[in-house]
Amino acid sequence: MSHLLILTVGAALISMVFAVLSQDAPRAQVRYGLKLFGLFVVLSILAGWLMYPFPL
Amino acid sequence: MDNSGSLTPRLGAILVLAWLVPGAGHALLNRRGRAAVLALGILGLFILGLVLHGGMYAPDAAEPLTYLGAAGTLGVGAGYFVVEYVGLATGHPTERGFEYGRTFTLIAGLLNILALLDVYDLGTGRKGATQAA
Repeated sequence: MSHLLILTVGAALISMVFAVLSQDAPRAQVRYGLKLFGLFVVLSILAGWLMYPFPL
Repeated sequence: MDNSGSLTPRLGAILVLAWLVPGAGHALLNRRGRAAVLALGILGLFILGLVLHGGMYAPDAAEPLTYLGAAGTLGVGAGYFVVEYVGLATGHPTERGFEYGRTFTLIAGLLNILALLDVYDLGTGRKGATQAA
């Protein structure tokens, strides 16, 4: 399993749970879940690139 | 169900079931859609963590922070004891997915604790009295 696939699946599952717990209306749940998922993936990739120059 | 705003024996029993089986509390409160998503999300994350050979945090006196990790993972309920019983709790530190896996099993437990708080709010009528999602 690639790192990106693990990140994507993990982000999808976590976003789903957060969305149903924090929103009541189904439409708001879907919108919030998608937004959270996108932020998870984009910010993780961005953080990965920002850490790239550091030899850790 | 109970709109008195207090913890009744029935709600207490629902909370225990909700802890043992993610999603069960919402199902018992007739929030079946929400229950299905919670069960899929929390158990999916927990199983994915085990598939990645992450195992679960175990209390270790030499590393006090592991107590917090174990307490968080314990939030997943019956799955914690089943995995402990079948011997998958240790994980494989040499596997590539170990860190991801261990983090996922911890997050699954923490998310179920959040779900428990939601069950409490729904059960006492503090939240979503008119919602049925």
